Amino acid sequence: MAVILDMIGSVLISGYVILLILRINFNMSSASDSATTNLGIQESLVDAMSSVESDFRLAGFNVPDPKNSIAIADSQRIRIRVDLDNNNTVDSVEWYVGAPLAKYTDRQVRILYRRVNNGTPLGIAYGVTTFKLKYFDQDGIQTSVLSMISVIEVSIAVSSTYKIADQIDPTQQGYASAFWRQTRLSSRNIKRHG
Amino acid sequence: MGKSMIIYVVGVSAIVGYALLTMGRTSASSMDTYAEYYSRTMAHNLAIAGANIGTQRCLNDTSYNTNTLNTAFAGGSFDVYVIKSGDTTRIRSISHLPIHFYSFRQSRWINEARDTVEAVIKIVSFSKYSWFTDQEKNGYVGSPFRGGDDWKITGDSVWGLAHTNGRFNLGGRPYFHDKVTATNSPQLMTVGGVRAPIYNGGYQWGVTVPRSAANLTNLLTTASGSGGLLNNTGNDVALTFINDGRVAVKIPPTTGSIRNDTANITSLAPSGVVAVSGGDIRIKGTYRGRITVVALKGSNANKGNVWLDGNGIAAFDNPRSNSASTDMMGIVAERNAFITRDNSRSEQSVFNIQAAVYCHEGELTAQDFWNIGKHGRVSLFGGVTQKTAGSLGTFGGSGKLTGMDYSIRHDPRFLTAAPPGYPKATKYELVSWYEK
Repeated sequence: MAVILDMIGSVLISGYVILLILRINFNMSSASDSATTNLGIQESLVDAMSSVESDFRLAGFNVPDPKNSIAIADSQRIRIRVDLDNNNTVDSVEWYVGAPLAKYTDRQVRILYRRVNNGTPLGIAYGVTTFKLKYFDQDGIQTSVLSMISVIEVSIAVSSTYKIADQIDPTQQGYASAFWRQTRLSSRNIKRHG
Repeated sequence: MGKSMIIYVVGVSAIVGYALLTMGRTSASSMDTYAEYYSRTMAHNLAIAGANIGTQRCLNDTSYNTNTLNTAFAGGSFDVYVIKSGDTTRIRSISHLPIHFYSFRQSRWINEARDTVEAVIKIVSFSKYSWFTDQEKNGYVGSPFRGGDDWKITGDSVWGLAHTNGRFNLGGRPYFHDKVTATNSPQLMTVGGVRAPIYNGGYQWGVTVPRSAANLTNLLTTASGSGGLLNNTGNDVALTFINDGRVAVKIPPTTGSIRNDTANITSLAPSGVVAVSGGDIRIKGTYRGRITVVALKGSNANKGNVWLDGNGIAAFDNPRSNSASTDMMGIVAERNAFITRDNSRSEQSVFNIQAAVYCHEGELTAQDFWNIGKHGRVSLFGGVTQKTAGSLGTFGGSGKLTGMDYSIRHDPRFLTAAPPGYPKATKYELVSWYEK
């Protein structure tokens, strides 16, 4: 009888421990998934903004007339002129977001593209939910006149393409996201005399 | 049961430990991303600081050529190298930021962040300006308008870089297509209720660009050293450019008694500079090739003028329609460049000048502009650099009263090239800034 009780007790305890392990494993997986996803979008955002900063800071480099450094300046698209490889040939670099991806119906998820000299666009960041550009003249007044653009404000938000558990309350789910805004991005080459 | 419990506890500990380790690595990677971005930004800013300091030193002192190494700043250091080559100087700044973290992305320890920024500054030619004056006043000796302010008003436009070492006088809404610079901020006047000049390419006040007489000495030296000094005995010279690359030379212009022949531009001015000292030069026709025509006072205070005769001076390969044209002319007068009075002109006449015009002590103007009929329009494709703001006509409320209208379009080739020996500034200017 005592053996049977021991066995029943051991089964109950081991069952409880197994349930505990499964619960811990679930929580750990959720937390790990959440952390990994957050890390992924952070890295994606850092890579994207580093490329954006690099290109924009160089705008107008080796362009004979700096007034022509920016060829297109829309709220979600910009084309700059720059001698990218310092070979005295002026290149064009275009940044823009593509159309919303069809498979994400609940919100607008896009790809941020970079295109050099009308070549094949290269996707720089996936899961872009915001890519906004604002342009200001040297007095800080918003402008759409290409030759008067002196400062560019860039906002990028990148989000995960699937929901993850909230790191504080695992019962809640949402998208991981990261946001970056550079409010005073300017190029010396645009501001030089000519 | 006791044994199985131990196994359970050890198993759970191992699983939780491994999961925590994985999460720890993820957190560390997140910090790694931040640290990398931070160190890269700091190194970049350090390099910019070095380039700023080096560039400013060179801009303030054209003879500055000292490399500055290992300058400690903001927790790091930078090396600034000054590399000179002719009129161009490169300032290369390399930053060093000591850091110490393990990069999971690169799978290695990072001990230093570096970046490089390079600025290029250059002594630039005055041909890059579409409109340049030392002062925005009329300077025509003998004109009733001498000393009066030159006003640019609504309807006026300047295409190309504009600069004055004084201040612009702007009424209403004149239009500047390219960047405008001046020593002083402009004097504004309300015209038709409007007081808003348009600076399409931006503006900057507090910029002074001195002009040195050494440019003229250099031109004389260049011309005389290559046989391009046509006359220094006080006689005037007439050059009629022929569209096959030759030029007819007549000294003096009326009789040709001293010289009257035709020569190729390349043999007349092997260096590209043809000059007269102590006399005036009269030019007209269609030129081919690259040449700068120079008139210097020498010992004759009233000379050193260039007279533009006939229908003007134009390039054979029209740079308006062909930006790759290799025909390029500089007109340099120590005193004035005059558009010669010609009473046969009508209001429909067009007088062409396809050249960069430089007047050291005077201005580009039309002879007797206040005292002639309506003589049409001057179409200048190039630019003008002058001491005072030359006028071509007089205007009233009903429009033009006398003289000629002014149309200036800058030749974009002059942003990167200049006619032979064309006068240059004495200070550096930033021409490019490379950072990534």
